[in-house]
Order: sequence, then C-alpha cells, then structure tokens
Amino acid sequence: MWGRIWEGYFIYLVAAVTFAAFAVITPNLLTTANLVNVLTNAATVAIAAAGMTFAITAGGFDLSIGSMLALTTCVLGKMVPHWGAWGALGMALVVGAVLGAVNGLIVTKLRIQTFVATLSTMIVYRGLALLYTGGRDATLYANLDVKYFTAGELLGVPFPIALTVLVFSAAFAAYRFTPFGLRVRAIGSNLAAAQISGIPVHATQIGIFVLTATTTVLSGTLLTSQILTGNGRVGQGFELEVITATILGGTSLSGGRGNVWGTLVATLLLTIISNGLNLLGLPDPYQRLAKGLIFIVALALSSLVVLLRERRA
Amino acid sequence: MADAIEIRNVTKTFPGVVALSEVSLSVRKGEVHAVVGENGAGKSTLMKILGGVYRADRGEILLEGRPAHIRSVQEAVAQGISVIYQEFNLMPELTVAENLFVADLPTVPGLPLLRRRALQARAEALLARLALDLDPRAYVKDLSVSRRQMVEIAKALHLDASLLIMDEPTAALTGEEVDKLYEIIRALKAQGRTILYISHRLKEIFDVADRVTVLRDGRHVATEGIGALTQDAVVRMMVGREVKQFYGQAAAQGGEEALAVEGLTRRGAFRDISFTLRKGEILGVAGLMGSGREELVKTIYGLSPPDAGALRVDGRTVRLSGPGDAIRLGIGFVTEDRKDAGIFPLMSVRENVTLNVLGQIARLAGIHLEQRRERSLLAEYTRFLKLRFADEDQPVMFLSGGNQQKVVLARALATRCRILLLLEPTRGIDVGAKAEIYQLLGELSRQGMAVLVVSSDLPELIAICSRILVVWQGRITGDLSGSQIAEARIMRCATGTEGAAGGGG
Repeated sequence: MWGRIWEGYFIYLVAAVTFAAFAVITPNLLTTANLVNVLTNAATVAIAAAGMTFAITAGGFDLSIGSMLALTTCVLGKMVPHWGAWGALGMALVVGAVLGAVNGLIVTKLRIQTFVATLSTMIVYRGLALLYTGGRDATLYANLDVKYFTAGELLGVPFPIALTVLVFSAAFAAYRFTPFGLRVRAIGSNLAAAQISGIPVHATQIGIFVLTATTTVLSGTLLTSQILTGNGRVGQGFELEVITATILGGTSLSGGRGNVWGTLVATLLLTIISNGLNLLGLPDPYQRLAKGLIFIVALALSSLVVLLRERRA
Repeated sequence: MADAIEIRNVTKTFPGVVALSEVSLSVRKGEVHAVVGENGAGKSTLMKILGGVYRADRGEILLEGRPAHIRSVQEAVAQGISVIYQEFNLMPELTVAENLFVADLPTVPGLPLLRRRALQARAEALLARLALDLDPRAYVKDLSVSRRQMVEIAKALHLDASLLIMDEPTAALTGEEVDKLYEIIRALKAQGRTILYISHRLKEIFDVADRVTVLRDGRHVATEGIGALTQDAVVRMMVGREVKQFYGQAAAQGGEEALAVEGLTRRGAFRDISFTLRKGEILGVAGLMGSGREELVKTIYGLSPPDAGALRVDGRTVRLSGPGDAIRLGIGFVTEDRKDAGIFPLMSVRENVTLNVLGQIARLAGIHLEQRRERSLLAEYTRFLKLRFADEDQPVMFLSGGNQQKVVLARALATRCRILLLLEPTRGIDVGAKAEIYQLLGELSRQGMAVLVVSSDLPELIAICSRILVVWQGRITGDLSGSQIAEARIMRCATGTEGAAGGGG
C-alpha cells in the first residue's frame, strides 16, 4: 500500500527537494522570467514524454521520435512559407500519424519488438528528413508567424506552457478515464493475457505509436519556432532525454504502470537541474555528471521502498 | 436435443508435430465433461481451438447442431464459449475489477470514456453472485496465487457463457477453494450450462464429471460415463500401457542425521521451525499455499537469510550466505517454478544439466571445458533419469514438462548432493513422468539420499513419504509418521484445527 503510494509520488518529493535546494543556492532561480524560461524549455521534452509514457506503460519504446522531431522541423521549414504556420502544422501532424502508424504496423504485423522496430525506423526517418531538405537548412527567418509557437500567448499564458498543460491534461484523461488507457496498461502488464482476453491489442499498439508521433510533432513545432530552421540533424539523442524523463517520473520499464503527471514533474526536475547548474555557471561536462548521478540516486530511492517491503514480507 | 458441442474430425498440426489428429467428440448440453490425457496429448490445443486462439487445419465444430466458425477469441465469446486457461491470464498491474471486465468495459454511450463506478458496481455484483470474498479495487499483483485463480474463474464466468472450458482450474487452489469451485460448477450445471473440465488430478474428475474423454498423442481414445470407469482404467487409457507401482516403493525409515534445523525463523514467513532430516529418508512437508513452506525450504537452501535459528549439516553448524554455500555442503534444490526459475529455455539439454558443475569439469583454470566429461555426465543422468530428448544440443524449451523437470533434477544431482530439497516435484507433468519421478526418489532414498519434498498433492506425499511435517501459518502443526499419516489428519493440521496450540516439532 505505502509502497505503491511512494512509487507514485516519490518523484514529487525529489523534485521539491531539488527545487528548494537550487532556490537557496541560486538567487536568480525564483524570478518570474527564469521560471517561465524553465517551463518553456521543459515543454519540448515534456510533450513528447507524455506520448512516451503510453509506449513505456505498454511495455515498449519509441526510439524513432528523435528522427521524427527532425523531420517535423523539416516539414515545417519547407511548408510554412506556402501554407502558413497552422497549415504546415496540420501537414506535419498527418506525416507524424503516418510514420507512427508505420511503426505500429511493423511491430504488430511483422512481429518485431518495439525496441528493434523503432531503432530501424529511427535510422530510416532520419534519412527521410535529410533527403527531404537535401541536407540543407530550410530557414524560416522571413516567416515570423511561426514565432507564435514560442512567443505567443494562449489565454494569457505563454503558448508552450499552455500547450504542455493541455497535452498533459488530455494524456492524463486518456490514461485514467478511457478504455484506451486501460488497454495500454493491460498490454504492458501481460501481453499474452491481453490477447487471450479479447482486447484489440494490435489496434491499441498502433494507436500508441500514432500518439508518440503526434506528441513528437507538437514538440517539433515548438522547437522549429525556437530555431526558425528545418534541419534534418536536430534531435539526436532526443529520444533518450524523453525516455529518461518518463522512467524518472515513475513509469515502470517492465510495463503496466505509468505515471503521466510524474513524467511532467520529472521533465521539470531535469530542466531545473540544467537551469540551476547553468545559473551557477557550471560547465556542461559537470552538468552531465550531475544529471546522471541525480538520475541514479532517484531510481535507487524508488527501488529502496520495494527492497524494504520485500525485506519485511 | 442437439449436443452443446460436436467436434468432427478436427486436425491441427504445428511445424513438426501433429497436435490433434482426426479428433471427434461430442459434449451434451448441461453436462460436466472431463478431458484427460498426458501432457502433449492435445487437450490444450483442443481447448485453444474452441476458445478461438488457434484455428483447426481440418474438421468441423458444431454448436447446438449448427456449424460454427470460431476465428478469434472475440468470436468464441460471442458464441457463448469462455475459457479459463491454465496459465495465469491476468494482468497483475490492473485491479480485480479492471481484469474482470477488460474486454467489455462500460463506457459513456457514444464516447470513449470509462464509467469507473459502473465498472466497480459490476465487479462487486459478480463477486457477490459467486460468493467470492475479493476486493474489486485490489491490484491483482498483490493477491496470492490462489486468489488470482479465483479472479481468473470469475473473469470467465462474467461472460455468461453457455460453454465453459476449465483448463486445470485447481492447479493453484487450496482444498477449501476447490470445494468452492465444485459448488460453482454444480450451480452452473443446474443453470443448464455445459462445462469442459481438464485436469491432471483424477480424483477431481471423479468428483465432478459426468463423462470423461481420454486423449492420447493427439488422438481420441475413449469417451465413457464416469460410472463405468475406475481411476486405474483412466490411467491405463491415458498412458496406453499398464503403470505398475505408480508411487514406487515407500521410503525407508532413515539413518543418521543429515540436516537439522533448530528454531529457524524468518519474519513474516515462518518462525521457530525445528526438525531433523535423516539419510535415506523421504520427509514430506504439507501445508496450504502461503503457509510458509516454500520460504522455509528456500531459506534452508540459502536463497534468503533467516532472522534467527541454526542449521546443522552432517552435525556441523553452518551459516549459508547463498545457494553456492548450500551446494558446496551437498544440498541440492529443485524449484517449484520450473518455467521461470528452473530451466534455461534456450540453452541445450547438456548445458542445462552441467551448468552447476562447470567448475569441476573445466580444465586449465576454468578456461577449457572438456566436452568428453560433460558428455559422460549427461549420459549418466540420461540413463538414471530416463531422460528423453532428440539430441543433447536441443534447446530445453522443446522438451515436455516431465523431461524438463528431469533436467532440473539432473542439474541438482550432478552436484553430487547428499541432501535434496524438492518443491512441487511433479507439478504440471504427465502421469508417466510422475511415476518415473516417484520411482527415482525411492531409488535415491535407498542409496542414502536425504530427501525433503514440499507438495500440494497430498496423495502423492502420503504415498512417497515415511514422515510428513505439516505447516500452518509459518509453524509446524503436525509431525506425522506411520499410521498417523492420513489425508484428513493432515488437513486438520494444515488448517490450524490441530496442533496449533502446542507448536509441535
């Protein structure tokens, strides 16, 4: 009982402690400008991680999202001049859905494990992105309407933050209140049982990959708006950042148990660490060391409770 | 009246194996029809065809006289067929209620939104109707094995199926729960439902079934009314030959002390356990699921540390810091969880047998594995255990359950152990292999091996053991030998109605 609660909420504790620590040692952290900056920076990883939470809960992965992120910047870079920011976003979403469905079909129809399947499409999609732009940057310096996605406001809130809140609310609702969410947990918990129980396993798995692709396109849109460039080389290692945040947030790698809000909090935690260390003027290599160590400590803490419980049982 | 199910000339082949060959069978409406056969006889394949998991290569299935096409689990369910599978088909990270209705979730009409309250209410109603004391909000992973089995049964029953297929439904149940299952089966029968009941336990079949069908090697052998049969006759038909001395020779009384346990305690599992195991003795440990008997044996083998108490091997007090220490002291162990903790499925038969003794058969400081010695070791145990396999490089996963069990046993014996701890040594293996394992344990005890057997199969324990310890809630409530060994007495101790006060030992 307490174990389950701890597993669900320990990340909030870790985040709160880390935040408090940084707030004390870095005076500039608590300024409104900096906090908005943190949230905006977190948005790109957070939104894709919302989708990844479903993939990992279902016992899988999607490693191709870094490449899809790059492809999104390319699609927008090429299309915004012709169709405007929103029109291009619509196209990118269609492209994302198709690529996600391809991932899903490879996993379900060719029966290839998600890790290997998306490892392959990671390479293929990166190739597509480079091919599409001919290896050159597609710049959008003249099309400033795309700036809305970073600098604009929705209901008085900066757009990236508003989008993050919307995506996570929808993701949580889907996870908790829809048959889809329950099926995702069922598949991750015991795939064979899910099949034998008569759950539409293939449709659900394809749906999951369409979902990770869709959230990645949204992330890619925020990124494009920041860099004003379509570039087939961006987003390398993005999938690992996203998976790290998801696992740190309490979604179980063994499947069946996800934590949507935990994913958001973990992304914020990772961003605050970067931000705090930046404000302290710590060079990048040290930041990496610190992040890795904090990751290990957090995961050790989460399994500590399981260990204690087993010891008692 | 048309039969509930008629199966006509059904054939199903898998690469290299004919699982079912021209099997025909009809099941009357409202009867409890048992299907028995050894592992590999084709029972599970037949059930999976009826349940929509597999499709037959040839043949017909008629439901109430009409040809039926069952192409998926959903179609089977739609036609009123529901299967309780032998393996656990539950999702541990889901709650009981979610597991029960996962394929049939209540939603807001027209919207993909779950109605959680309705889900809860339905689960409560179903559990109440079956008189099952389960919390629908509990996560399945927090339930004991036997409670999971009850969830599994409830899951199949909610579908309101007219034909229920139960594949080894009692494999993990306690005696009391088996009785409850019998009650449920009788109630279902009274409602006019038809039940196909598959079990290895012949006693159960004689308890509940109206008719029995025997399958052997994928063929239909016979279908008879239960009144016309005896257990011996059924065994003969299953095995296709006379099984002489099913249980083997009762073990000797035992010689000097091999292993002594004094005041062994592990918090939350068992406390103050003391007993002595003698050379040449087969000592049984009985007890219900969750009584602490498995944990006790695992602690003796060094898999988990005790909180208090002492262990004496050959008269010397020892402390084990892991199974490695136990093996060095001559203790061998056979797990109850063959599939997950016993075999290395992808490794060869040879590797599975020699794994624990690689250090002894390696030369040049462990670099060079001498294949000749490995082979001779395998040959020795192949003969001794009547191990059957195609070739020694065959992955162990392709062997039958009985042969896999022998491989696990061979690995323990290869360490030249003098004390053998066995958990559920015949769980899920066929009658022929069971008989061979009983013979083997008898043989080992005559050679002076000290054997400790934990088993849920009481007739088995009673037949092969000269002495039985009964565990209840982590304590020994009975130490029975000779004429004291009787099923009723063991059950009284196992449920705490006898021996609970004194502690025994």
